[in-house]
Amino acid sequence: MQLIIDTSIRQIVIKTKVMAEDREILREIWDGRVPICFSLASDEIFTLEHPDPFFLLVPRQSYFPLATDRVQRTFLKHVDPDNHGEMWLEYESQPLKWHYPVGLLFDMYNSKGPLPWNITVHFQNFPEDELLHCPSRDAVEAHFMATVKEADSLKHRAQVINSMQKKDHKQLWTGLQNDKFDQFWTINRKLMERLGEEGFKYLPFRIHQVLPEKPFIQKLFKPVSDEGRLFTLADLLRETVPHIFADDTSDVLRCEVYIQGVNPPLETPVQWLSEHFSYPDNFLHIALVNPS
Amino acid sequence: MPKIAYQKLETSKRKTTQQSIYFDLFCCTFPAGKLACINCTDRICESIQMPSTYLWAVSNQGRVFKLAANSTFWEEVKNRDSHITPGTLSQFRKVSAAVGVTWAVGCDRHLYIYVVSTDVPIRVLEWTYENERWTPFGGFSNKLLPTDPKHWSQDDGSVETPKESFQLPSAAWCWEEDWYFDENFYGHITDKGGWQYAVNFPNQWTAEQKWTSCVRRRKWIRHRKYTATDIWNKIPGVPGESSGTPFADVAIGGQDMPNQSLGQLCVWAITDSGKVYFRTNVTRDCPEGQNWQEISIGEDLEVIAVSVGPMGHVWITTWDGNALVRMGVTWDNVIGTHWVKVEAPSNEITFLQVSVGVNAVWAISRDGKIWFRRGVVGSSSDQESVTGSGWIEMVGEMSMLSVGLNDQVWGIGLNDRLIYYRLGVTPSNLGGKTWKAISLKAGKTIDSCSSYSSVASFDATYTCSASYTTDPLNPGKDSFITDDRSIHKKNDEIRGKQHSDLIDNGKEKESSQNDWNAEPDCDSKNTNNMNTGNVLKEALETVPKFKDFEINDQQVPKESKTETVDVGSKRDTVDVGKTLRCNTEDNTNYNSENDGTFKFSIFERQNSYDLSASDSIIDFVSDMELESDQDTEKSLRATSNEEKKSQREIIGDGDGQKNLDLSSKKNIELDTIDHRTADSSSNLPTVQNIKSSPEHHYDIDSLSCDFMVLTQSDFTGEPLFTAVSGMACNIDVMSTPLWFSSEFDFDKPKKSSITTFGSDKWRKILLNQLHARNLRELSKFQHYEQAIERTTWVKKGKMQWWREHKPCKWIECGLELEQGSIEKEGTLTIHYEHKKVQKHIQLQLSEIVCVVEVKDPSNKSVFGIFTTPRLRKNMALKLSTPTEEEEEDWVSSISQACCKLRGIKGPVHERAAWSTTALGDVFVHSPIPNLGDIPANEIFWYQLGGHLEKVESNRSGIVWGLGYDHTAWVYNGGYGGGLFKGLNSDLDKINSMTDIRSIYVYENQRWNPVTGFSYKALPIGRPTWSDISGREECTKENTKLPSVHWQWISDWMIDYTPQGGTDKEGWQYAHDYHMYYHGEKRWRDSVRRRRWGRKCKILSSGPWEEVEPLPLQDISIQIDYEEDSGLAAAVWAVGSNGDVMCRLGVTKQCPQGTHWQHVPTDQPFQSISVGGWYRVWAIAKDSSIWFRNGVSPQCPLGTRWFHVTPPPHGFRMHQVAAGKTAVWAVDDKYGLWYRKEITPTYPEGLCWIRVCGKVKQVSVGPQDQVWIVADVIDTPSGPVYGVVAKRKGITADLPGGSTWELGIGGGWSTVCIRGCAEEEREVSTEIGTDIASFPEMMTRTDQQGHTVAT
Repeated sequence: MQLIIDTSIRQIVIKTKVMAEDREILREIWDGRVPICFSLASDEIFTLEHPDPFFLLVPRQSYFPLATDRVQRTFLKHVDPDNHGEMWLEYESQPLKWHYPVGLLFDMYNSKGPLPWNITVHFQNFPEDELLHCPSRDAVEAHFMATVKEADSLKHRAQVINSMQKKDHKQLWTGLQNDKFDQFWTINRKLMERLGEEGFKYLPFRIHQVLPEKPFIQKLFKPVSDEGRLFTLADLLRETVPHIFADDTSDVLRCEVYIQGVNPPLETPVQWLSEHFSYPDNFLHIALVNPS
Repeated sequence: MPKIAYQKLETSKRKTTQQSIYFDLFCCTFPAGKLACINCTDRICESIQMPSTYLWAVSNQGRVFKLAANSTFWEEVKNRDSHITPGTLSQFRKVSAAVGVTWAVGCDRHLYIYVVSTDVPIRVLEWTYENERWTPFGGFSNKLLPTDPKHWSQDDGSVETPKESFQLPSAAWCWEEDWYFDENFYGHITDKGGWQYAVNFPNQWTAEQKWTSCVRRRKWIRHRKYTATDIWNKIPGVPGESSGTPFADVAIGGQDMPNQSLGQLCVWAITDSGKVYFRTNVTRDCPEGQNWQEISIGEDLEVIAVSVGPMGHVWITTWDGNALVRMGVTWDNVIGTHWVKVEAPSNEITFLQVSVGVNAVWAISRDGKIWFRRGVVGSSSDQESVTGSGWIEMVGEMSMLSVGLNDQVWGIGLNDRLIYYRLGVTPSNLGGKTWKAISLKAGKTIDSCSSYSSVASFDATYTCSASYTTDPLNPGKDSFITDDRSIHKKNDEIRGKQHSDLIDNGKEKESSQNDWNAEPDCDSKNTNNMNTGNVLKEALETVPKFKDFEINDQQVPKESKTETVDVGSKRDTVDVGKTLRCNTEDNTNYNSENDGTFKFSIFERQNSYDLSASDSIIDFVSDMELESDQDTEKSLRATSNEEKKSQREIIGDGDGQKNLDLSSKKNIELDTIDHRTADSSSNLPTVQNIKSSPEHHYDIDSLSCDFMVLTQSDFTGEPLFTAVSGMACNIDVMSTPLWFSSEFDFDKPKKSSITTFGSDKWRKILLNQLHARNLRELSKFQHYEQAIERTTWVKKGKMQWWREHKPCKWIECGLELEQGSIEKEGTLTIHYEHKKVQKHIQLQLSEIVCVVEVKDPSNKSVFGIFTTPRLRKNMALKLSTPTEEEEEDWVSSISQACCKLRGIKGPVHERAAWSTTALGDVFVHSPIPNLGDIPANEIFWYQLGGHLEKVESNRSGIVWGLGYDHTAWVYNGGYGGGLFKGLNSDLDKINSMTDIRSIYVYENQRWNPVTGFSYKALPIGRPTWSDISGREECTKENTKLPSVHWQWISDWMIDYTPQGGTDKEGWQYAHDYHMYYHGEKRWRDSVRRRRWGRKCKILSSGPWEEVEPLPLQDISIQIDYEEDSGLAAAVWAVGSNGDVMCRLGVTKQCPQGTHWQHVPTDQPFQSISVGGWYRVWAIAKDSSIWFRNGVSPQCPLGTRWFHVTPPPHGFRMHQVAAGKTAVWAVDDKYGLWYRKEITPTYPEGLCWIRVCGKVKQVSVGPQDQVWIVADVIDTPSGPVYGVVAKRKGITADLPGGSTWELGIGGGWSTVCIRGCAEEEREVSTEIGTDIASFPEMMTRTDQQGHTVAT
């Protein structure tokens, strides 16, 4: 008697219990690094000897202040000791916001550019109207935790983050700071869990537009419809930035959509994207880049 | 030829609990605590667990469907092949299903049984003894003394049983072979000719002839096999009654009664005359039962319905609407003693039907109201518990109800004929919450067997034009084809066949009035609009008969009949008349929500049964007459709507699947159809026209005959139902079946659901993009410095630590797990306070060899950490967390850290060693690089998800596991699962797993002269309620589940299956507590005990795939399998009832194989092992040892069993392990043996040599390495149970080895090193070189006698 196992039934049964965890994806995202060449702005070089550029692999999920300690220490030796302020970074005369994740900044400004990414380091003429000051790592932590909380209030009405202990918050931060995947995700997993069978209450996302640069777009958007339908990335974009579609019917875009350095298929459910493609601050940062 | 129809395998996770499977679930503690191991005798489980669980139902066309809990379409249950053989039927009125077997009332009112085929056939051993006596002159001869038994007799000699007296019970059976004598005498090999000798009858028999042997006997055996599986097989009626007792109802149950033999069922049936019958001796080996036994009901009551619960309780409903309960039903008297009437809620309420579950009884009154009986306790048999205490009215209106195995309830809606499932029925809320309709379609045809015979082609011819085919192009349009025409196309051959059939049918019809509706086909005419008139005409003809039948046979005054033919009982009435049924049922609502799949709505629904309760037969007739004109009109309309062309289109485009099967020849036939269509269309207009043509009439008969075939083989759509049976459906109370989730609709493109993320296309795209991104941004820049240096991180927690030096106690501590920055180091530190001084213990992670969860008598959540020095002392570092969740989190974290440090990640190495603990946890050792080189106590074991009793592997990474409930699982190459949450698992390959165990407590009593046996213990007693040892008090109330992942699935029940047997109340007697217990009271016995078991179920997960719901007790995979060979590996298994099976098609790529093949044996087996060169060793339950000869890739089943000499008298082998050449075995007293002098010439070896005792299990590796699990190891701190050990010093000169090297231990249950092939190196044994010539030798020794004596 010949029997063939029908696997499709099995698969369906299995998947009903799959949680929002896909280690393979998460690990790939976590391991993302951007090769960066830091050079001191030539007009700020004070010493005769020009400092060598600094080549680093910076984690995409991290923030520049967490990664540039040594850059700062090295270059400080070459600037005017009496006339220097807080370090800030610039790429093609675009000041880089330290409170954006590195990967997002890269996607916004250099997704098509040459590698390594050439970033100029400044210690003078801080662009006060464009950048926030970053006095210390504590400022980054404060900003980071505030963003995580905001994201959780959108996702779970802040129920998850509020139920966590202080040490959990600390572990989340140190995990990110020290580039410890397991340490970070042990906690972050809880933040990414769906309560019950439904999706997140609202999707924590920000759409960043470049050229012309505008403030990011953030709206209340439910990732799952009341009938249980999963909204896709196309739905999200049509809702928030309808102008990027070439017309009302097709899914042809006028610009490129970057999340975590890739162009996700528009049919990807945003619930899944949020669970897997969010930055550590729990926001799904979407960069819209004009093809140039 | 049509394609072979494949059976869709049931992949249900929900295991049936129909049969009791008892295993002790013991606590294990270390280092010095008690650890009881699983009693080896319990491992042999008598019960077979039949596959999956199905809901059965009968559609309004009389077709039987079943629905699996995880399926989303109804599957039609059909006869195995499409032959319409005498004695089988396709239309039914009622079903009553148990797991594996279903009883049904056919539309001819006979009873039918449907036995679901499994890979293990139903085989029954018949035997008889040939007795001889020695005389001085004639030697042994059959000249016996008058006091002796007859020449042919049963064991005790009382009955004369010549070979000829053994007849097959029914046509469903066949003999497997001719008689032959059995040469196996309780594991020993008999003298030549199978003779056993004794001094006299009856006496001690021996296998050898002695000088005092005056008599001898031999046992002749023969097997018969049940062949009528997957077929509706007729059950003979009540003898003495007029031919073909018409049955009205049948109910089966009693499968959960304690102490039942395998497959035993209580089958109760009701005849049309209202009598109650019980079918005796229904077991798995005798599915049809033996006789009908009438159960008197007295008082001239007539019964219309019966229901039997899983605990054997019987409720019947009488004509006048009373409910009666059978009292005194116990496992040793399943028939019960007397009936007790249960009062209806009020005088006006008359019951139509009652359905019985375990702790729930539901009833329907004639007005369709639903009543729930509260206070029913299934496990007790006193009157109050059986009858319950009161009726509660429930919402809804139903025409039928069925209560399932665990009190789940299904009903058929009174008006809409849909099946409803009662949601929210739990043990605490047996009434449930709401009714929910199961709105599913009938699936693609699934035949339960691939053996379509030549008829299949004939079949396909018709299926192509089936009227039910969905038209994908015109989903909204009725793709209705007038089948009558297509039927005409049948070729002469088939017509001829039908002719004869029909003639037979016709004769039968004439000869017996009662049988007039015996024609199975008559029901299917309804769909045939051309025949409408004709059918009606026939209906008119039959209605008078129907009247006669009713009046003559029932002898009921008309008034009372009028009462019964009301709304609720319409099904019964309707079914009587074949055409009436068409009118009353099929016209209901097929036109509702089916997107044009059907067009049954030929008649409008306006039937008499809807009108009022005072319906009568006469009304039916008048209705019929009224309708006939309308119907003709409608059929006209229908036909005119159907253009020939469109019909052809539909035929062409209809069901793609079916049309694939069409050959060009059939297309020609289709042309004929069209031609006929024209003909018949012209014939159609008047009823008279059709009437007047006898030939045409004839065609219609034959047509419907074919049509039955046709409807059987192709039906997609949503059926409506008349009967449902949930007694084979075991729904997990915690999870809703998939019936209601629309997203699992296979027909539609799969909609991404919130819960079904996974391997969708976009995920693959994204993953590829991420790979590309990291390649682009990283690969060329690897020499860059990392911006963020990695540092250590620490996980901390508060818990308790078991202080090992005095005073030994739990003390508060802090635990810190520090993982190193380069992931190559790390420490685990315990901080504690001793005499106000902070102290700490620090372990390097590299020292840890195992982290394991421990079941502690203190009921705390405890885990243990082993290091090599600790293993030497058998002392684990024990830590206890406040909650189980924290414990799992820590075990998972530490285990992961250790794995990372040792570079273990991803799938399990194919040459890994596997082991399981008494808790069912699975542990793996990945060989680095050679297992043999590492001291046993230094090897690192890490946990893998899943709950298994044992694991078997081989060196190519084919790994099978067996659960405690005997489910077979195959390792799918994943990792994680179980306590390794989310991120540490390979989610694609983690499946949910369930397993079932029983937890036991013992009730102890001591005899005293005043009160007899009582709980008043003498001073040196034991607790009234205790564990098996009697040292710990264990009451039913304080016995807890092993962990949060377990749940109770049964109540406490007396277990009648402990070793030694029990009396009828479950008691076992012994002279004293620690002595041997036996089932009957002897005069010296002063204590007794009985065992109470309660089943519980675990929900776990792991990288395992369930193989097939065939329960196994042992499995073995070929040890020297070469995966490059392109051949399938030899995999042999022993089913839980002792059947030996061979799994075919197992390869590295397909480790689960394709199907089972049964290997006949003379007795049930218990252990099997496949050694090198296809040498299969096995041990039967009578501990005889067998060697299978002739196994080869070409002949995977081998040729015959050779009986191998057993060990010396008094030792009974229990488990065998065959390595590359060596064969080791364990006896039932935990003695370890090896087989001496296995050579190519004597592959069966010379004799057994005992090595040592206290061995629970042995595993022999591919290099003949020997590992065991020791039952108990004595240490200075007390005994430690379940320790893995390795045999050292095995050489050619010393094949038994010299010493043991202890490994991991304390709570281990099994070990498997069959995959641990070491790199090829010079194996210095002579055997190793000798054995190279094995294959040739094996074939040479083949064709010899039945027995190889050495």
